[in-house]
Amino acid sequence: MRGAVLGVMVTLALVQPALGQRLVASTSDPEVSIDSTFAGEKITLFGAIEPEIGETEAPSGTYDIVIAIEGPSADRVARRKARTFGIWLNLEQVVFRNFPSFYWIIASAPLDQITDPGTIVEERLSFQAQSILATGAEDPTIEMFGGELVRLMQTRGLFGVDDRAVMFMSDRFYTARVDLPAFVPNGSYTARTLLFRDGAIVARRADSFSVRTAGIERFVADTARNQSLAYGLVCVGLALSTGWLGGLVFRR
Amino acid sequence: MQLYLPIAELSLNLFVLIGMGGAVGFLSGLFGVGGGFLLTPLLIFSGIPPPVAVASVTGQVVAASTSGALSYYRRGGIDFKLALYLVLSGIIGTAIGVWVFGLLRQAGLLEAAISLGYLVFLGSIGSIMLYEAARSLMMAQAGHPVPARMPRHHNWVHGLPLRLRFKRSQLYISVIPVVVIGIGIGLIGALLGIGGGFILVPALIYLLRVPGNVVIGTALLHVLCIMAAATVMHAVASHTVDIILAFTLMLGSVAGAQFGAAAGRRLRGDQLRLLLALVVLGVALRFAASLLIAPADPFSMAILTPGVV
Repeated sequence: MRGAVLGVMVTLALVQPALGQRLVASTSDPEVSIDSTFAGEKITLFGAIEPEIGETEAPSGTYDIVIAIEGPSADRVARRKARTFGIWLNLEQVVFRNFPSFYWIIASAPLDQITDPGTIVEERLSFQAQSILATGAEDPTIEMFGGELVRLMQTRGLFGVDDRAVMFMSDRFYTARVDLPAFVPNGSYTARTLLFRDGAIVARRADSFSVRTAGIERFVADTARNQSLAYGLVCVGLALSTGWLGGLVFRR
Repeated sequence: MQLYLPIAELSLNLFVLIGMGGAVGFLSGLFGVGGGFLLTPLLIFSGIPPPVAVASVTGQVVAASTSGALSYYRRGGIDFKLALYLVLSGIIGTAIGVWVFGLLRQAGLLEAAISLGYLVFLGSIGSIMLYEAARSLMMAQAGHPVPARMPRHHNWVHGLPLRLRFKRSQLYISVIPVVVIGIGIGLIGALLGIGGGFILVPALIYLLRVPGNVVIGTALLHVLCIMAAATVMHAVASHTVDIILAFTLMLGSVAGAQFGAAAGRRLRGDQLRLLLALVVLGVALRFAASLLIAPADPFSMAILTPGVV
């Protein structure tokens, strides 16, 4: 049964009409290592527009590239301080489940010149609350908090739009760079590359890279998570011996 | 030089971290306080997530109080019997504090509770200490003889039953206030993420009349034990102890604490209390400012779950 389904799918793929062009792409660092001197990193994504297999030349026209880089998601809370009895307290908060901890949109031209607003929303290429936050709620308060959360992420460099970060080196070859800040979260990242021709998506691909602590830092993080009791006891032992040694060294 | 902190997941300047540890260590050696009440806010202000700051500072406080406690132990400045009673009741208080911590967190009131807690405790204790120290300094200036130890006259605390003899402190007092102080300090310590030395020292001086030559050493031993337990609890419960951050702070603070202890020997008790009162009031004012002055940005964000690794 499964074989038959596979056979049908292969046949369907073979009879699909050629799209005309496809994307070939790679990243400079498939795995970004965070070590003791990590202070952020620039990642280069590069690729080429190739003719579809079986064709000799890709259709001519003006191409544009938009890449959305998304980091691991986590539950985040946005809070607002308000004055009560003369004291500023966090009184309101909205929790956003599975909120991306990193989201950069980089493009070869301003997005509104590349495509129409409908596609921008559909492909989640803007920080409009409804396109990224995906809370499903129409509540204006939640939308407002979502907007503020996006603004806070932007001021930390974790969210952003750069419409000059993708550069065409020739008609068919492009490079793109994205800055990972020093406090970039660990996890796996996906880069969705969309190829536009005359405002329409003609090819797309997804690449991934991971950000991981390496060396001693990775060992520390793993031990803290997996052998937490031993880790805690080692911390106390280290503290006691540091204090004791310090007392010896500085004894006068 | 940037140093990457694996649990906090960010980089900070190595020399800034050691400098912070050194400055706080100096104060901890000088006054016999753990210094957590200064260091935790400093780290949070540097961008370290509050849970990591609180948990890592507990480890740093252990190191800072070890060197201080050893230096007082050599001079016979520790009442071990008193410390034992305080530590046992302190662990009970810590457990209650951890439970209340969870309740407040669920209610979304934790941050406000921490700020208000710091303000109320630091503000009231700082004011009392400032008043007492200023009065005793003025008496000394006016030519009145200053007693070497606190006046012997008994307050209501000394009328309670279940008396025990604490030889080193030359005290014969009820065990009830000792246990109540221990539980109270443990509870406040767990809630505010501090060792509680800055509350314990005045409580021992003004409530129990513990003489000045053993009060700081005993308080340091108590802080050491409670914070060692808290470090292990934080490591197991929330995986938030950053050993690299803690070790960097330790290096600075251990050196600082030695100079602080040396400086403390050259100052009189009332002068020490006046200085500590000013430091405590300064931190209280900082918290008052954060509560009373309109924030530049009323919005803030926090992460609830760590990223999927």
